[in-house]
Amino acid sequence: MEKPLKMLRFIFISLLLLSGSYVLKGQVVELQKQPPKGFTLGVNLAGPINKLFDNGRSGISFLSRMSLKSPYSLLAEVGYENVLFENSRYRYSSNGTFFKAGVEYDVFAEKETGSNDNLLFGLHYGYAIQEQEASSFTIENSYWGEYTGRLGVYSVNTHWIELSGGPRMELLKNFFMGWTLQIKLALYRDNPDILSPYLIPGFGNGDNRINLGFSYSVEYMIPWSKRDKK
Amino acid sequence: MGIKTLLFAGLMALLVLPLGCTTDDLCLSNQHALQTGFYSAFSEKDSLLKGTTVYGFEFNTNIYKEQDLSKMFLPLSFESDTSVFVITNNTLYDTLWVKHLKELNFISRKCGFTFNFEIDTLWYTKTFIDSVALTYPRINYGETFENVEIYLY
Repeated sequence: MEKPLKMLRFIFISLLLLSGSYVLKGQVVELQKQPPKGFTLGVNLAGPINKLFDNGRSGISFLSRMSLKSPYSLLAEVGYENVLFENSRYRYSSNGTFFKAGVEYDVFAEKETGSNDNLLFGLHYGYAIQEQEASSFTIENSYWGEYTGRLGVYSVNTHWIELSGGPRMELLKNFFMGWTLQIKLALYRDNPDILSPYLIPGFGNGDNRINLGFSYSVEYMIPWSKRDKK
Repeated sequence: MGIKTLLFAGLMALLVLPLGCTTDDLCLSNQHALQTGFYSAFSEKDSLLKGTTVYGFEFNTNIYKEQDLSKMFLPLSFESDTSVFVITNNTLYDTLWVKHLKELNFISRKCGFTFNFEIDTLWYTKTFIDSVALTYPRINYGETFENVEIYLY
């Protein structure tokens, strides 16, 4: 059941973003020599989309991108993710927030006429703090009888770095949409031996030291320089 | 190559990417048993104890019933710090006391928790058991080491 759901998820996302490219065909694109500089405010939709396919997860994150000297920009993202998970062996819950910041490089810094699209590669640092607990767990013992216990609430801090890459399109004036693929490497996590987090906010599967991630973001840019018209 | 082509190609590639990352770890059972082997006290070679019945002290259920055994897997108690086993060979009885320390261990998101054990002390009666040697005091999830050698008269 898990695999078809994942397949469905990516078909949905593909159609969503492709519908954006059709919108682009019907509009007049403003010609320019230089893309405008400014900062964006946006939302990463990965959290709400994950919620559609895993009701135990809920989260969202907000991001901002600020232009530096071309082709560089600064990215900052803050968000939360809560998890409730239950199987026959234990019941787990976690509430956490995360923060990411880093530098991004635009491969398409030399814009084609009429284009304000980007192909962005970034290096980010990430930090998450979460409070988690196993409100009940059961360990089976076929002879003496099973053991039931609980692990109380405690905090886990995780630090990681990630490499990201992906395209971003300007669908409407100052309105961007894009996705990035991320490779994340955990650098340090405290309390490692008690209970691996089921999910680390912003990082992913707590059993892994290396995770793949995906984000779908929509951003609105507030320019601080005007677009140069040709 | 335009940005829209990249956007589309990337999304299509990602359709199959998560499928390759799915992992299904197996959860092992009965990972909290003391592993023992029978040996001859005279030759120190492997030995077989015929017609053996084993059960927990003051516990009605048998772990083994009238079997020929060269080794035993004795599950340790989670509730008590000492697990006691009665070993019968025809009409002869011996008792083995195992004092242990337990430590909670998280295995994985799928398999949940288990207890690892450290064997502290062994006591035994000497009806048909000559001696007992603790060779590996740890009982950890996923390990298959023999912990105790039981030498028979």
